[in-house]
Amino acid sequence: MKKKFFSLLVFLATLLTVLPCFAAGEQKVFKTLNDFSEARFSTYSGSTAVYHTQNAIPHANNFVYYSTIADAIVALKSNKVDAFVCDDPVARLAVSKNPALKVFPEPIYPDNYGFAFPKNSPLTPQFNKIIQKFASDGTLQKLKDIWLGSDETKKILPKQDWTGKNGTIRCFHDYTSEPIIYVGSDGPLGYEMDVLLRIAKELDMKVELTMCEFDGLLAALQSGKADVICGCMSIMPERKNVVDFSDPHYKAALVLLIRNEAYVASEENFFDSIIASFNRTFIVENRWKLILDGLWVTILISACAGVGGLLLGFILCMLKREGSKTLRQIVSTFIRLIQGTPIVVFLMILYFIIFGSVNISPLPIAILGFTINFGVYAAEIYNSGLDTVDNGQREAALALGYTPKQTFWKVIFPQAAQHFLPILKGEFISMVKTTSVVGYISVQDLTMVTDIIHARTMEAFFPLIVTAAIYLIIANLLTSFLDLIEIKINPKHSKRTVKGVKM
Amino acid sequence: MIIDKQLNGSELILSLTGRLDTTTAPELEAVIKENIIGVTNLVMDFAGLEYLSSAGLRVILSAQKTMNKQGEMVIRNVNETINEVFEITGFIDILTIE
Amino acid sequence: MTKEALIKINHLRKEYPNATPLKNVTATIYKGDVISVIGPSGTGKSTLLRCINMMDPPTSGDIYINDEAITAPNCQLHLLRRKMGMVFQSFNLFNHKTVIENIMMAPMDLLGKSAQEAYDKGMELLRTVGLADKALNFPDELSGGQKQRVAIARTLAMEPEIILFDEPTSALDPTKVGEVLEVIRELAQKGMTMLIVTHEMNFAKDVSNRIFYMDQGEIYEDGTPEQIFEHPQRELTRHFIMRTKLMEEIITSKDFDFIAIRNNIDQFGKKYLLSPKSIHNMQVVFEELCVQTLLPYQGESPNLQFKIEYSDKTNSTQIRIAYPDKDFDLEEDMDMISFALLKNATTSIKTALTENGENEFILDIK
Repeated sequence: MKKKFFSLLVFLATLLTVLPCFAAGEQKVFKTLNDFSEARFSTYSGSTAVYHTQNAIPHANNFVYYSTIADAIVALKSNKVDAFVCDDPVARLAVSKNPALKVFPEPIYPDNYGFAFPKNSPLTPQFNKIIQKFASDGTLQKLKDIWLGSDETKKILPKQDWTGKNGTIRCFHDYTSEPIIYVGSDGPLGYEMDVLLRIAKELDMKVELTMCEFDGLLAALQSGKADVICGCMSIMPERKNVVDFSDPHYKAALVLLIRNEAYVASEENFFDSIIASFNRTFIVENRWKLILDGLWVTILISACAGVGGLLLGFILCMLKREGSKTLRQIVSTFIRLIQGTPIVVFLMILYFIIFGSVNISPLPIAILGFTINFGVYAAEIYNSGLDTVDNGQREAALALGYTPKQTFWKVIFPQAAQHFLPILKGEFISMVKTTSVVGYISVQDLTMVTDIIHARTMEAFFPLIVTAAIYLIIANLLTSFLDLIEIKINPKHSKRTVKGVKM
Repeated sequence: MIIDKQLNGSELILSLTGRLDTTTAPELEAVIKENIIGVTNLVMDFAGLEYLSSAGLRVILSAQKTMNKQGEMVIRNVNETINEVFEITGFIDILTIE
Repeated sequence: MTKEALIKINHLRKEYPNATPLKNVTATIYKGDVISVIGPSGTGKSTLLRCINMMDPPTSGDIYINDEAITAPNCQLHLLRRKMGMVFQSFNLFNHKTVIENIMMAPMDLLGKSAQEAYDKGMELLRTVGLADKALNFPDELSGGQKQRVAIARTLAMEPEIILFDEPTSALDPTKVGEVLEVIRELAQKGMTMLIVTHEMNFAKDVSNRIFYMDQGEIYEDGTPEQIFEHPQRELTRHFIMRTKLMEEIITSKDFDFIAIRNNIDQFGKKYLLSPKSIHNMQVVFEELCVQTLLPYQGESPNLQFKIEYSDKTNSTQIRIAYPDKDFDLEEDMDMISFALLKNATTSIKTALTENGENEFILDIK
């Protein structure tokens, strides 16, 4: 079994390494911005890149959206797109790590990054004052040199050793834009983080950081979960309608990241490259610890939602079967409502709207969300399982003198279990895999962790394969465990004897 | 019931097919009444007769009485069922059955 | 000998939204009674049984088990049910338990017996129904007859005072009916009180001391097997027991459709494969007695009821003609020819009174 699994991994690895070589067919050569009019662009969703690109390149209209920079860069390298419209610091760092890429010399649009606040936040003027001070005394330039430089040893954030007597700033931030904002072995890193912490120090306020998908940032701010958000956030007129921006702390530009046609891949040994990649993914910065943490979160959500959902499902099912007519209708409507809502949307509604004004960590919200979601499906599964038990079974038990309650637990439920367990098992395993969306409400589960690593290494292979492998293993372990229960409750699998009796 | 009648001079032949019962007996009675004047030889052919009720018997009896005065009456081709009816009712002694 | 009443049923009524299977049932079941409940389908036999143990709560009326009202809203229903076993048409063995576990379960859960006690008793019961070797099988490994015998053993394990059998052999392959009836017969010999809804007439006749004939939403006739099967007192009972096929015509006008009725008689005879002779004789009776003799005495608004009853069981045909008013004397009032034909068509002619008090001729057709 193990051997088989390993050979499958090797096969997939080979496939993934070899495939991009086939894909890279003809190479287009771009000399001026106008050469890009037929090109395929990639950019990240929720950004302003499309608007600015079309201003600079009139006929550009072939855009593909990726949710992380790492994905976009992998797409570029594998010739799925011709240019990645991205922020200048991101592009520079990508080039420094990938000799196969280069930045197109002509920028598309000058850009400015700032912090975003809720409308009329008192923090805005306070931040502005300090940003102006940092600009004039050279602090910003100094930090830019450090974080855009190649000396990793200097990239250290100040410790929050001030008293924080003026309170706490709750910051939600993106985590995929190295070197401006990203995640290292001990948490968030990057230029923007550094600026933020130094401002907080000046204000004598503590900073509470929460990682979040870029798409969720504005929602976090509007729901009052965050006091400030950041993550290479361009200062734009449309956004100013809903939030206030600080003065820019970084003058950047939108640039095109393209393939370097002059670069010829060195004849690297296949296994060496695998080992290097493995190192980058797991060993550097003790990234395997991140993976373990993420795995733990995934298991925690799955286990809690599994148990909670089974209980909730049972209660819903009983209400639906035994409750009054109104109650039955309410339960049915609730079940249909939850089943009809995509789990991501449901989680975001829970986190940003229902619990929007409550200061609560996203993990219990994720558990609650999956408990409810799993619960409604479990309720339907229980229900159909109970339906398969013939009414005659109930009548026979009642006629013998069992009470309705005893009848349910002694006769009906055990028989229904044989029908609903296999279906419940499938539903549970699918739920475990669906927990990978909790990153949307800033829970760092296995998938989000691998995204973080993927964002750092710009490599798709190991983070994705490892994630897939871990989910596969979890699902397999769970399946075997549940199979065991299933066999246990099937009376025909046990030895035919009567317990506690001298026969 | 179908009544087929043949009048050859003073001979009248009536062939009956079907059931001679409460509803059909009056028909036969009417046919006989119309044609019997001057008839000296009345022949009733029962080859096709399936059923004979008391109503029919009464018509036959009255025809026999008339013919007793002006000639003779003969009944032909009597099947088993009809013959039984004649036997039980004693008609077998009154009628001339060939 | 004074008999001890076990179950009393008072004015029991059961209505469903679209049917009323039980209109008014009153009966007493005594200890030691073996009662077969017979009657056409849809007459509430099973409903009666299911009301007795409250599987279907009655609409109105009372049922007392040993003077305790099971129909009372505050009664300990599950405790009263323990006194009454029920055997179902579809067996309803617990599919997730072995045969012996099916039998042991209730005594252990409900009577607090130890596993050993329940097992020993269960095996003893299995031996009496001849299935000790199937103790460790699951229900779906048994034939229908075996399942029903296990179901009886399961019921007996609770030591009930009465067993209600709801068509215990109706779902069985005909070859398996005997083995189940044999078990019930033995129970009857041991003096078990039983109420058995059944379509097995010979069995009902042999095994019961009482028969309930159910029809029209009530216990239409209650009597010994001898009374019900040999001398049924009431008309519907007689039809059911004799498996009578009926044809009925009511003549209410002098200008009735003679040909139509004549054809109906013909078709009725052909449908039940009566001999041409019998059909002929039925026609004779209709015409000579009904039409020629009785009808002329009826005045302007006649009311003659002409009924043919053909018994499948005895292969005999009877005609009953009911008429109002004057008592008619055939010898005196009937035309001689008609009377001769009538006598020849029948084996016997009797006069009687109907349940409505009308005069009636009963004629056995030759």
